[in-house]
Amino acid sequence: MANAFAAAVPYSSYGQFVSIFVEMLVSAGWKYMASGDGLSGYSATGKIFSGTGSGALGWGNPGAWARVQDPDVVGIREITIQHNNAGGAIIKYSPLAKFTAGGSATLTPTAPDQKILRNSYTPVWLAGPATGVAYGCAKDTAPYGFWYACTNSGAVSFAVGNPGVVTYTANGLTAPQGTTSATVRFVTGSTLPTSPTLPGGAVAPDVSYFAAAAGVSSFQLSTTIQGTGVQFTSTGSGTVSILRLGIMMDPVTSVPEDPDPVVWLIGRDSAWLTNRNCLARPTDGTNLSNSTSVVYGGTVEGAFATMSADRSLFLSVQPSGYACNSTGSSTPLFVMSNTGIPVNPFNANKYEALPFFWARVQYTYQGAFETSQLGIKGWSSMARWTGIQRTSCLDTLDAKKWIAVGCMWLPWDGSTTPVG
Amino acid sequence: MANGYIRNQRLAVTSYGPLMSMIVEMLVSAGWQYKASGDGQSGYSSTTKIFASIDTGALGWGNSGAWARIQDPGGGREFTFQHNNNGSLRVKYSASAKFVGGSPSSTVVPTATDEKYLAGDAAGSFGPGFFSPLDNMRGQIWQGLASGTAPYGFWFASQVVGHGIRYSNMMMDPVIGDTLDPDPVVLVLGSSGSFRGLAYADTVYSMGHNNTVNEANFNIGGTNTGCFAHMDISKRSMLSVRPLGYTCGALDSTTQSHISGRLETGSGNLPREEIANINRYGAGLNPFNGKPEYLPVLWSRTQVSANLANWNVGTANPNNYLAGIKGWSTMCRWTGLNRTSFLDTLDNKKWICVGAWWLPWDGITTPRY
Repeated sequence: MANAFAAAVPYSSYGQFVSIFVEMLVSAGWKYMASGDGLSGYSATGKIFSGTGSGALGWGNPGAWARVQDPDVVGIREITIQHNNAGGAIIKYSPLAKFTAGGSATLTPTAPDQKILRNSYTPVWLAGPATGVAYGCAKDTAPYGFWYACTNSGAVSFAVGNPGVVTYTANGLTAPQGTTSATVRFVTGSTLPTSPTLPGGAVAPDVSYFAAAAGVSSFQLSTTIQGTGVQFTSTGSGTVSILRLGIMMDPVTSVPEDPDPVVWLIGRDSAWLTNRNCLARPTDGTNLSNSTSVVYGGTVEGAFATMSADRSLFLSVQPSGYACNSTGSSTPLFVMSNTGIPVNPFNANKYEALPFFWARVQYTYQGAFETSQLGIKGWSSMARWTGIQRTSCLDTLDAKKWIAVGCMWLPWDGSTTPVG
Repeated sequence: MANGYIRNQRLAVTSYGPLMSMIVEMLVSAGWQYKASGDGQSGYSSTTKIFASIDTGALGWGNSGAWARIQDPGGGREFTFQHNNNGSLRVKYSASAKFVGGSPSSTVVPTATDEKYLAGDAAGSFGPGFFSPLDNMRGQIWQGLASGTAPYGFWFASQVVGHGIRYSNMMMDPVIGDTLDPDPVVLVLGSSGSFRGLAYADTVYSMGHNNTVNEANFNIGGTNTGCFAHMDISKRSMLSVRPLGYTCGALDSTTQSHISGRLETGSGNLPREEIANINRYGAGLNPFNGKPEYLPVLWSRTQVSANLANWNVGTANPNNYLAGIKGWSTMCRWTGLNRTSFLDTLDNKKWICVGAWWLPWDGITTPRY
């Protein structure tokens, strides 16, 4: 068995999108254990699907689902995924007991230890159009980590101005970080705005990819264009790609007492981003979205893991960034995560790629004490920090063995050039 | 060569000579060599150790101005140590050129073309109050290790018994970094509060210099204490670096896209503690087995000039060098919880807890405070 990849695979329907995901796992050794086509087709033991479209035995029906089991000889972990053919999905995880109860053409089976990572169709998991490009990797060796993401793309135009104006014109796309920021890939036929200038007057150095994020000085290494602070002296156009959803099962290097050493990352537009909606939830206790209050399931974006030796606690965890002391009145220094130092000072041609651990960090605000266990889950085996967050899938590292997805370097196939 | 140690040393002294001797001899026992020395009076050797005594008087380490030039066992790095017998040091470091210049004498240390003052300066000043007053020495205990294998890292520190304050720490921490790094070590020099965790405003602490005394304005030598390393391929200057902590979450309820936060288990809502993180308050115990954590340390220079044009390596002001990662410490691990004694060890005494760090230990000795 070899690692499997969704190597920039185009899709044009929700059925295809889900199928690409499941088949990627299967190619790495995961097994269909049951499935239903959302109509009347059902298999209690294997794959029922004969296609990705709608109709009998198709992945493209509302309610179509699959139960898959990891490649371990005795089968350890299982997931079920069901979708509504409109971008919504329900995803369940069984760390050990397995989905052996129930199941029909429209109903997924249950497991006594199941964790419903996503249990609502709305808001949809896959926002935006049903046309895009899928990216992912599934490892063929235990403990069989995987990740999966996608991008949508559409036209973008630039208007003369100081700051210049970036406008998305197709597919109803909206930038996840606001209307002034997006990752742009200039494809054949694109018209690059002439002399795009950056804050401070520096000229963007690269006519293929250029970037400017105010305050991010290593702009030449990013592929993010940001209207605010960027001066355009002519109009231009191109194609914008926007990172969409994400799911990852990240095996972690943990202590032997950890009964389930994996972390689940599940999210939609913020899946791979260090913003407060997912990987960088606030810790000041003043916001209900802080990690104390975050519970897996629903449509909550975040990372979750078993945090007790008896498996009773499945809690929000967060990736650790690197930082230095900020004592005093000034702004803290953030070194590696989103706004960071992406290149090595001794070899400026090299990107940094720093490991991180997952941890449960939250204390309870104003006197009450958190009963959940704080502490370190373990070191990620799938991801490294990129240093500067990308909003698309364009950059690779180390002969394409890694691909930048949001704030993380993730395993890549060593050969495929991503397309945004 | 076997490692050299300072183990549970508690000295009642009448001069600083015994302390200087103890430190240098720890290095020598790990293979470092005296290459020259002077007794601060009239005794001088241009090749080796001149000392016959650790106290004051002829050929004694306890005289003001007594000094030694020592070289690592691989013939690479060198230090000169000189003291004023009043608690302060003048320490110079040569990454490769060696101290073969100048007009050394019984009171004057030699020079190296690449020398950097870690403490004191070329004008003849000594550095910060490195040692506590002599009267306090019997209340302090010393520990240290010098590695007998390349690249010969070492550390030593003293602790006021029952108090929590450490003095007189120094470390040469070989790092794992980029292969183009011409001098992959970090030098740490600290006095009061040494090896303590981050998030302290006090400028004398060796690890937690803050934005008020930011790195861009913080220079090696003089009376400064801190952590320093070469941060460019030409070894032009040794710059302030800091050990990075681990931190999670967003900064506050309004700021997005920043990883910060805290790994503490109690309350404490000061913004200044947002990134106190694993070092000082951190999650010191593993949630699955209750064992102490042991996390690697990454050295980095984090602060540069706000003027983008000055970020280029080679500009006139060395403080404007590009920031970035120096490398991973080979000597230190974060403890997660700051200790105020030497009492804790880890992994069959292979590590000893010194402030915020686990540092290598001898595998045998039970530390006393």
